[in-house]
Amino acid sequence: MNRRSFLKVTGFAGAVMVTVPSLGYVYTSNQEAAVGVIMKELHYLKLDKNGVEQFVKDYFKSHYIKDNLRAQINLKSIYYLRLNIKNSQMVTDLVQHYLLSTDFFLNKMDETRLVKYLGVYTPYARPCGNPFSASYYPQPPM
Amino acid sequence: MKQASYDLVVVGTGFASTFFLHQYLKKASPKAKVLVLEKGHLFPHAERVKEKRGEATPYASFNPDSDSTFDNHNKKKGWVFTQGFGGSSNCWYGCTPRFMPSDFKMNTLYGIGKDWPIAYDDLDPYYTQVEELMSISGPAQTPFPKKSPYPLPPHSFSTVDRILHQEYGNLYVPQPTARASVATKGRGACCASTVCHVCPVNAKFTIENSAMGVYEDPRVELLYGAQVYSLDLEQNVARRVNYLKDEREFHVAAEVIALGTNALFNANLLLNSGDTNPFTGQGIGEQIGLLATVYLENLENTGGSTWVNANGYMLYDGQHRRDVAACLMESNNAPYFRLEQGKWRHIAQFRMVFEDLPEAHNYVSTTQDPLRPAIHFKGPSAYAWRGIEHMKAKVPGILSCLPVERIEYAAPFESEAHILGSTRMSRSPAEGVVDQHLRHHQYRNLFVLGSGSFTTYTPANPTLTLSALSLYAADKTF
Repeated sequence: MNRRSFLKVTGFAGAVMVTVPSLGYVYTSNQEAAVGVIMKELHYLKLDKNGVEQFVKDYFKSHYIKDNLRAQINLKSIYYLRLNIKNSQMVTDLVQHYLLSTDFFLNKMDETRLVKYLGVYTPYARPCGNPFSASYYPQPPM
Repeated sequence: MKQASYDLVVVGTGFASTFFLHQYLKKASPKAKVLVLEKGHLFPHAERVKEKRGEATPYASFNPDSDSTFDNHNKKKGWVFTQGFGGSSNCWYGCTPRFMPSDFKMNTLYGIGKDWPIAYDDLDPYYTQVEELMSISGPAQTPFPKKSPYPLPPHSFSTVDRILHQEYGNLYVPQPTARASVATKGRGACCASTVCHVCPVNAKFTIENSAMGVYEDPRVELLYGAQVYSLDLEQNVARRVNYLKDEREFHVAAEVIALGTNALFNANLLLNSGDTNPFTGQGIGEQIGLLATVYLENLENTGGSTWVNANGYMLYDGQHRRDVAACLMESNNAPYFRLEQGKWRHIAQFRMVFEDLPEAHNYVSTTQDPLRPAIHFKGPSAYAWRGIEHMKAKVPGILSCLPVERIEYAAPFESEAHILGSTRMSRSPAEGVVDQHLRHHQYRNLFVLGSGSFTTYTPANPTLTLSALSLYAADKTF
């Protein structure tokens, strides 16, 4: 392959590599991106995908991301470009909030069990739900 | 308003006013006439919880957001408080450590700031009284002198707290707190929901749930929606209180007047009234705090039964205070965790709170709107900043009893929600605004209550002390 042919082929491949993900970027919904980020970040846990999807649906109802274009771009970029979620506090919060909304911590962080969604974590709907507190880890007297 | 003049007019219904009234009513005649002017309205706890659940409540619109009530000339600095009946008891987190005896004599001991005109021993019985009224949960042994046990048992330690207590004994103790450890007097038991600004189980003490009976007393007339904007100060006497209600002006005379709004609005009222004490409004500030996150090697940190489980005093008192600010450690028990397989709760968090000093370049001024003060805040003192650096140098050694992987420090919080020192307490008018009984040096029938009276800004939370000062002031005066 001469130099001109090589440039043509690599140029075309490059264009495909940029265009196809861009199309995906546009057509992926915020909720799909959020589900994808959670599934990828917690790939070593047994997640109930239906539960993840329901969590995202519930979480987005009252989250500013539903009206904030910048936050949406941020989320999709992390999902599509496979960036580290630590680049975004908003996305880190999303993943952490998902886990708090499941039975994972109530099951004492057992990584072998299926993780089930219980409802968005809020102390006003579920008081005394802090899964690390003495209610769940009784301490012996001093 | 039923009368044209009263024996006592109190402005505000927060901690300072309520504890002052509590003591006053114990000593006043059965025929005493008391008027309480509250700018805002009652927003009941149950309605606050509804709002937090996303349910509609008409009460939510009755009181303005605090940010909308003043001009902030430094947008990087927040000032957190709550308007309405009960004041900041509705948003506080219920942390009630006493001050240390040294906090009252910083100049004598360390050559820093000014001494308070009151000593720890003067306040001791009033501390005890507030602790009883608030049903404080606390430990048997404390870093400060204490003659009687706390009314309620202490909250339980987390794993990390337990190790630190074993290492440091009475310098690391369960936090004394108004978040009840067991159900008491109409309050539920705290269960570490860690959203204490509106407790889901009503476990923290508030003026609304206090059962103190102050505002039900037949001698007391409570007026909501009364926006006090000035006092008539004549011939060294505070004569009348001027306020707006329903867009009308009212004037009420009183033998004694007590200002119990916060440090921002108390100063504004005095300045609006022509008070010329050079310290009125000057030195406003608060402590400075930041979050330290400690990553642990193979140690799971669980347990603990409340928001701030424990207080660490290892960096509080000592000769370092000659050069750098004291630091109070708060062990935080929010449901934080690491997003790392197998290391979920191998982590601990501490809020590090540093004392500060009043600085002349931080002050309150009036604006064209007499109801709307302005805060000018250039920043904490160099003394406080040095305290932060000192803490960062010392903490690795202090935590060496733990398997620490690494420690990360966040930037300081924009507010500690404790507004201090705009009407500071002093022995003479040459050094401050009020005396040890919180009476204005010039207008002797005028009390200026609350944490505005603090002479220096210890790292300990102010509410217990400002409440004890109100009891002390009323007890010694009437």
